[in-house]
Amino acid sequence: MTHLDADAFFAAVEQAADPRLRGKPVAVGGERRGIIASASYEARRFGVYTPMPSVRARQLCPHLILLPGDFDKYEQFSRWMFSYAYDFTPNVEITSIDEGYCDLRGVRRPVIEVARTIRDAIRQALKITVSEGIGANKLVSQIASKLEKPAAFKFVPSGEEIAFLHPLPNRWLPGIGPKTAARLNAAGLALIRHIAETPVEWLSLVLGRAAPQIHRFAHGLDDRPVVPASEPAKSYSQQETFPQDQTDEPFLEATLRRMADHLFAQVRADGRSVRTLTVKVRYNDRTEDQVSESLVEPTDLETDVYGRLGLMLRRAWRRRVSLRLVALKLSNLYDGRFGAELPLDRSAQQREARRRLADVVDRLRAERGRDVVMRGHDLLLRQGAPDPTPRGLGP
Amino acid sequence: MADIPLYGAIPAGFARERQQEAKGCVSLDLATLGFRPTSRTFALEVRGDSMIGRHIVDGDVVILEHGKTPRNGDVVAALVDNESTLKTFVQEHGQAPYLRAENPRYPRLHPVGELVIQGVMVGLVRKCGRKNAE
Ligand SMILES: [Mg+2]
Repeated sequence: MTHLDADAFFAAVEQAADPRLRGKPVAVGGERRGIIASASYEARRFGVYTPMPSVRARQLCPHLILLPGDFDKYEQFSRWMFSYAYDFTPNVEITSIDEGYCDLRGVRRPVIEVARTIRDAIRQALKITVSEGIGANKLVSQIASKLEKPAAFKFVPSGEEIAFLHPLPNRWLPGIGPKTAARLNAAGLALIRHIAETPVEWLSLVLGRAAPQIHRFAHGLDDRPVVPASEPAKSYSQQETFPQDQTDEPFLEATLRRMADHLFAQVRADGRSVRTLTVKVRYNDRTEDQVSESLVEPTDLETDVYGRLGLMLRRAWRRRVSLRLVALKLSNLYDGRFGAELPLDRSAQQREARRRLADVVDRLRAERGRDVVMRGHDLLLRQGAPDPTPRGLGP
Repeated sequence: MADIPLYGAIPAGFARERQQEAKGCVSLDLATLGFRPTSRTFALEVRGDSMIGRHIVDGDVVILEHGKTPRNGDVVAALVDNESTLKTFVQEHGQAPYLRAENPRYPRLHPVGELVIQGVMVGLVRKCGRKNAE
């Protein structure tokens, strides 16, 4: 298994696109968000890291070149970056804009040689560097790629997983965030070795239901397969087929908003953001239309897209024919949250308030079911689908 | 039919305001295209007049292939100072390759070495009924 992870991706793409920026401290961060989303290694030398308020970054590094994100460009580079892996195998799993796994076992050349070829091709063609980790499974390869960034190339031979993992701090294991790490440290389980040596029953006192999985990880065991996608990126999607064909626009729009609620809750639970929305409609004669739209910046909040959904529905619904199905897809995945975590201005504060509200809603719904919190569209949907109007009287 | 992703406008001239919105796809008939697009095939809309000498004008959509090795005389899209620009790839025997505009008003030559070549042109689509560039 090989894990591919671009180094300081957004900042690196900016430096690739404009040689005048190379060798200089560059960061990508929205003025709107006031947060650094990516910092070049030159900027990191000044102590700039992500996420950090842009104001603080400027204090640390007065010559910092702060650029707004150009996500079209990053997605273009991402697509091309992974195309060099697809040269060797279809078994590529793109997990975010700049990270993915490839299973190179089927390739006739030695894995190390192929991984090196992919890396060199990316550097040569795109002028960005990637770090690669090669190991027995996803867990080991992912940690190996991140351990010695940038431009790392780390091979963990089979049989040496334990020796590789055990001296590392617990936070390297997937599923261990800062809070869990602190709890484990308090319990005297600072290293992966400590977790491996602790019986699962004891571990579950700290880790709950995640304990068996994390215990297996601590032993270097991971059987998660590469899930190649027929389309180049993973996505979140939901569709609804109506028992009776629909023409009622408010009802359909409310249905899309409810889908957005559901899908964005998943996006948040995965610690992701998305940038592209697709609305698909299926007519009563089974033909389909769809439209896609990309936001200026990725988001993890449904409230950022509510306003778009009605417009997209009307654009997708081209024919004056009643609908049998609507679907919503969220794609172009980014790791992490893009909204301001440290509110600096009024709009950022409002976003932060909405984010906290979204978290509370997620938690309440997880505990007590969806209906515990109802938004306007939920109330509309509760009245049930309107009586279908005669066919042909569409929007 | 084949759907090819269409990225923002590409200035074939002086730098202009870059277009931010994603432009979706162009759908082309495979027979018209004359080749089968790959995951590295993409399209760009031309802005400006720097390629007028190659009869590529404002409003044209060029079809490009990323990762193809350019040969002397090929039209390529490259990122120059953070702008997608269309240029002719020139490599004379033994010399380091460079990029050249096809309009005497744009005399600057760009050494290729440190540039990102986005793609090599493999096709051109001219929209019908478009108003002339001049
Ligand atoms: Mg990365």
